[in-house]
Formats: sequence, C-alpha cells, structure tokens
Amino acid sequence: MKTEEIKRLIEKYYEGETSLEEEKTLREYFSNKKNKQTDPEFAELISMFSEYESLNMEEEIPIPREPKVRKINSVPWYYSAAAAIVLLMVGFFIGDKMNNSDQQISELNNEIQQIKSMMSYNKVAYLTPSERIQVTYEVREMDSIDLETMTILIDLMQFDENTNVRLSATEALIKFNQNDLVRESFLRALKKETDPVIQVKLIDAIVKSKEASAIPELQKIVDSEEQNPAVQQRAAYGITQLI
Amino acid sequence: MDYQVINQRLTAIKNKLFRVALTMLKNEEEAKDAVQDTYLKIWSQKEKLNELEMPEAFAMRMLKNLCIDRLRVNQKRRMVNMEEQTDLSENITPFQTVSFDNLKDLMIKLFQTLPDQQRMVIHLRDIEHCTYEEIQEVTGLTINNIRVVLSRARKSVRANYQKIKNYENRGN
Repeated sequence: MKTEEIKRLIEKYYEGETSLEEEKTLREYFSNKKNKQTDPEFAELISMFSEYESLNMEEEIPIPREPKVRKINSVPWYYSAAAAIVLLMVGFFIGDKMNNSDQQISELNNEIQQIKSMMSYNKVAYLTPSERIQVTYEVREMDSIDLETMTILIDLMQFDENTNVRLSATEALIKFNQNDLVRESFLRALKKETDPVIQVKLIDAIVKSKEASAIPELQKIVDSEEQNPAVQQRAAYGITQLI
Repeated sequence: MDYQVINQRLTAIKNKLFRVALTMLKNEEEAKDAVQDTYLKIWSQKEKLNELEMPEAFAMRMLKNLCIDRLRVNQKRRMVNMEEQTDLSENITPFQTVSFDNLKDLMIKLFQTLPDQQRMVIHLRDIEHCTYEEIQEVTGLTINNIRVVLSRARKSVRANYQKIKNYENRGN
C-alpha cells in the first residue's frame, strides 16, 4: 500500500473516522518493521496496543456454581421413618419450650408495668439515682415516646443533681431528636450545663440533630474564657458541621 | 442459550475483562479483584444470563460499573492524598527496552490523563477492536458520541506519548 494512503488513514484514525477494516490495515502495515519510517510515532503506539492486547491475567477466576439439578433420590424407607420420629420429638420439645416462654413473656410484661409506673411524673422525684438511670435505659428501648415520658427525660437531663443521670438522659433523648421539644431542650440544657462530659455529649446531640439555630450558643462557648478547652474544641467542630 | 455455552463464552473473555479493568483502574491488583467480582456477580444471577443475546457485553457492562464504583471509592481517598498523582515523565524506562511488565505501566501512563469514559472507549476500540455497536452496548453512548470521544482520546494519547518521548530524549 502507498505511503500516502497510509498517512491519510492515520489522519482519519485520529478523527475517529476509521472502520475496523481500516484499522486492521494500519496494524498489518506497521507490523512490518520496514514500514515503521512512514510514521514512527504511530508505529510505536500501535505496536504497544497490540502488545497490550496479549496481556493476560494469571489469576484463576471463580468457578461458577453448577445449576441445581433435581436428583431423584432413593432413600431407604427406614431413613424416612427415623426422620419422622426425630421430627416428632423436636415438635414436642419446641412445644414444651413455647409454654415456658409464654410464662417468661408475662413476667417481662409485669416488669414493664412496674417501670411504667415508676415513670409517672410525680414518682420520679422519689427514686434513687440508679433507678432514675434505669428509667433512662428503658426509654432507649422504646420506638416512640409519649409526651409525659419525654418531659420526665428532659427534666432529668436539665435539672437532675446527679451527673450520671443527666448524661444518661441526654443519651436516651438523642434517639428522639426529630422532636422539636427535644431539640430545644438540648440547647437549653447546654446553656446551663457545667460538666464538660455532658457538655460534649450535648454538643454532639445538637450536631446530630442538625440544629443550626444552636450556632450562636456554640460560638459563645468557643469565645468564652472559662470553658474547658475540650468542650470549646467540640463546639468549634460542631459549628463547622452545622454551617 | 445453553448454560454450558454461556459459561465457556464468559470464561473465554477473562483476559479481555482484565485488560479493560487495568485500563480503568490503573492498578493490577484492583483490576484482578474487579474481574473476580464481575464473575461472582454474574454467576450469582445466572437465571438472567439465559435470556441474554450477548453475554460478553453484559459481562463488560457489569465490569464497567464495578470499576466505576471502585474509582469513586478511590477518588475519595485520592482527594486526601494528592501526592499520589505522578508526573507523566517519571519512572519511565526507554521504549527500546519495553518489557512486559513496564508495558503495563506505560499503558497506564499513556491513558492516565484521560477521563474515565475516554479510557474505556479507546481501550475497547484500539486494544479489543470492538465494533461501535458493541461499544454502544457497553457504554450506553450513541455512535456519534463514541466517534467524538474516541478522537479526543486518541489525540490525548498521542500527546502523552510525545511528552514521555521528549523527556526520554532529554534524558539520553
């Protein structure tokens, strides 16, 4: 083939206009070393391409799972009989268990009732700190929260004299942060909270609930000179998350 | 189509899939993983396979998607580590002594600056010699688009090649 023809094809190649046939022509032309001078650059590129084409993967590929074939089974009759007996026994065993678990469920129900009654607003005040923490743990198990329980929890978070109770109440409330009251209460609690651990927890809760209105308060903490440095750091981080 | 036939046809394109993955991912280990993943995924939905006209194109499309997933994950990592971007001219051995191992590196360098789509198209065309219809099947681009993408890719590869070559001459 004429050199001119080849040069024209190369131009066409760079425009994306060549057919597979023409590209094959080019490859074959340049596979002859004598022709390299027509366009050394193109010759090297195309030879690299063909070398790359022969590159193989040494690794094995995963073996396909065989399609399921239904086997016609010829199991001796006594196997079936034995299986039936075993099944029957398992059945009895499970039945027995079920009765037991019914009993357990009713016990559990009782316990829940007791805790529910602990949670009425007036009674919380008479509970010991560990019982109050127990209340917050019960709330964590709940999928939804009623107004009374929420109020109790918010009170515990803001006003409880015991740090652990306040911390635990905060943690329990994070789950319900889609509720406006809860979100506001985080901010209120943060304003009066002095314990660094709870402050950090509250900042996290605010960040988690994406409460952008808390930014000024967080800024105050950052600017304040009395605050614990770790809390300030957390607040600064919180601001970056909320902006 | 018979299940055994499909199996054979898919197993036969193992190396092709590997090369495409290498071009896309620029890393041999990752390319191997991507190929393995592709096969696992295909075997796990082989009920679908029986209905396919072109199991090869199906496998290639699946590989492409897996590669893109991997690239996304890598991109997040790379944004953190910008130094990873190597200079085109670095660590290149002269063309005269292209051995098989640095051929891989060389190809990766030639394709390095190309966007993912261009790399895919030029590879399918110039290394695997796919028809435009096949490329369309895999990439979802129209044939006119494929021409444009291919032309750009070829020109960029030429430019990259010249850069590497120039550096090499300066070095000698």
